[in-house]
Amino acid sequence: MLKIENLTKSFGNMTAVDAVNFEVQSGEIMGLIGQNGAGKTTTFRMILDFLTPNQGQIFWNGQPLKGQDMSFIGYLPEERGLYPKMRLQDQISYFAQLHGMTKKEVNEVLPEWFERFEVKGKLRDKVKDLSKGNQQKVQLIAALIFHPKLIILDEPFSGLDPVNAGLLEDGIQMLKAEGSAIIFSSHDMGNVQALSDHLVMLRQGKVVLDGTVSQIRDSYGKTKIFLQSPLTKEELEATEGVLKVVEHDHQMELTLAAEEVGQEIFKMATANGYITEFRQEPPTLDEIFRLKVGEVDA
Amino acid sequence: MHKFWLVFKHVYLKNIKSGSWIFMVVFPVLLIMLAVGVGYLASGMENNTKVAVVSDTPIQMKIPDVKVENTTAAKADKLLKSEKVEGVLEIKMTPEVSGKLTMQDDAPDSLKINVTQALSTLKLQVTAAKLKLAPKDVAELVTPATLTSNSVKVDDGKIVTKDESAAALNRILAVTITVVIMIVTMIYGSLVAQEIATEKGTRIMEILLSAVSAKTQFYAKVFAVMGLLLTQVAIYALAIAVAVPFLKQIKMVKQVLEMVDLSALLGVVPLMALLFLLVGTFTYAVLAALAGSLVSSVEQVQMAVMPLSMLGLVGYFLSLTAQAGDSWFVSVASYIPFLNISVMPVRVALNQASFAEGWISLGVAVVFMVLFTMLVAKVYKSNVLVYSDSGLLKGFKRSLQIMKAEKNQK
Repeated sequence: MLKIENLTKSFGNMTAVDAVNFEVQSGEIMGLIGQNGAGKTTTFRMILDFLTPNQGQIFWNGQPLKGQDMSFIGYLPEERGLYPKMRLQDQISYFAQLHGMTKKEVNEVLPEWFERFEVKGKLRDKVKDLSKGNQQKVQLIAALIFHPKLIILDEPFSGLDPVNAGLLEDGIQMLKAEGSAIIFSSHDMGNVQALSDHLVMLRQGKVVLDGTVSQIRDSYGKTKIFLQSPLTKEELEATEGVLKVVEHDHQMELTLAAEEVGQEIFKMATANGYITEFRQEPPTLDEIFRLKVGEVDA
Repeated sequence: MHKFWLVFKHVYLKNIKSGSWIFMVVFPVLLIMLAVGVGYLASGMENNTKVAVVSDTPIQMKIPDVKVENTTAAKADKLLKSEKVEGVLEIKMTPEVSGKLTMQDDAPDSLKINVTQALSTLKLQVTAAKLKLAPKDVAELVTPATLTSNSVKVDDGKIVTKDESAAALNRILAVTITVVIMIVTMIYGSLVAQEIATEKGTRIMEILLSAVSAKTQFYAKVFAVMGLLLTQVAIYALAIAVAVPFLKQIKMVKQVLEMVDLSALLGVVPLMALLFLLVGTFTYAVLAALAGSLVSSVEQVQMAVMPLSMLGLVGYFLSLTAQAGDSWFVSVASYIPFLNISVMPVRVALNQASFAEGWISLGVAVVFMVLFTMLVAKVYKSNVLVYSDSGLLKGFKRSLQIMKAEKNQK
């Protein structure tokens, strides 16, 4: 289990990470979201001991992480890179050996991993001869092949097509089932929603959201309504408690001030009997993200 | 330690298998083999020089390095026209020994000298016979006065004797040292810079950092490059050990060996030069690591190698200046880190500096190397995390800020 306590890092006058707390259990996937510059990479870099925090501590299974052998951590940096002129096999083998595997072990399991991620390339090919997508897969394999207990993936989905993103999700789920603690950052709330057991959002170095996806969504109340009824946009906008109405084709998307307003809308919409759609839900993660980003400091 | 060896092995094996390293090792060997081969062929061709000798009295003419064919004037003319001989020598014994040499224009220059020498010997014999001199008297007459020579050096009011052949050898050594140190430090320096800059530019560095501490990586890389250098030195030592027995059979090499006392090669100067080479390469490798860790992309590698080439060139020109003669700035430079490694060994080889001065400068170089390495090992960690598009110097400034911020936490 990874536990971050009161983690703070500043560069000169700029506080990049400000008193951050969170926990990632073994067998749990945590999504870390936030805009560029919110402090995600700095947080990762402190966990990896590239940077020393000004304050706070990082614990792994109750022990301070600093000074421990970091071989159990698998890390995929945001910007990818491999040795262009090295054979795939040698490359993965080198990284894996640095994480405690032997060359023999790597050679035994490597074909299996190539199959799992459907890498289009041979073990003896050189990296520069591979397509970008395949290079990304190779790098992922290098980060995961040694079955790390803690996995840190910085924007793992960026640049992957839906098929490859699916393969990546499968890979992450597999390691989760083995009991790895996994943190990943992403801009795509779809991935975050699908994968995360738990998510943390940073804004200007501070944690502004922390919980499971449904907890976070529910905490905002069911303030969204999708409606197909005889009511016009004007009628809806005139109703008290309706903040915004957006018309898509025949469907209206309403943003409410409070969940209770929904009952009033339902009554109005069904006054003349049958309607085809009335759906009330909490805001999507995407909307919450935008909401949080837009919030001004109190 | 395990991870140190993994990184060491990775860098070492990767480069030892690379074409550029193999080329660097093999090329000088090929060059020397070519030079020896050409020399061998040239000396072999000279032996093939043939001269037709026409004489009014039958004599046995011996000309050094030339095959002689005694013949008649008419035949000699034919031989020359058919280019079977390079020259025709007509000898007249009366009234006194004289000769007339007709040469093809492509005959070797040494032919005339050799013929003159042969004729003089002949004349000496004839004259000695006329004067009725005993062979013993002749031998006494032609023995030149003996001259032994030493080159000496005044050191602190004392005269220090120096063997002349050793001095000549040292001069050759000085030139060799200048070139070898410059080439080796440049090549191994840029090897390190490129290695690190590529890892940083391709962001492999971050993956490595997550498994191996920056310090371990840094030391492993620099030592791996030293390992490559030692391998190269060992290969040459082995090559020489194998080649010498064969080379000794070549006439030209034999002549050189007779002239020069090769034991001077096992003396203090070459040892010092080798130590300077090792220390120098290490220091330049560390500087290269510093420069390489500052780049942000692979395209900037050339920028990283620049400070290295600049320093190397300054050292090179200073040692060329030292070869031309001693001067105060050359003596000063021979103690300045980075420059001393190429300037001081040359000065010692040329007797401009004493061994004691050489050892002091080497001491300075070693102390500087250790301190510099420790410093760079520290900066390296923050360097590799900084990506700055505004050049190496700005990047370095930011890196120092990070290092300072990090220091306050420990």
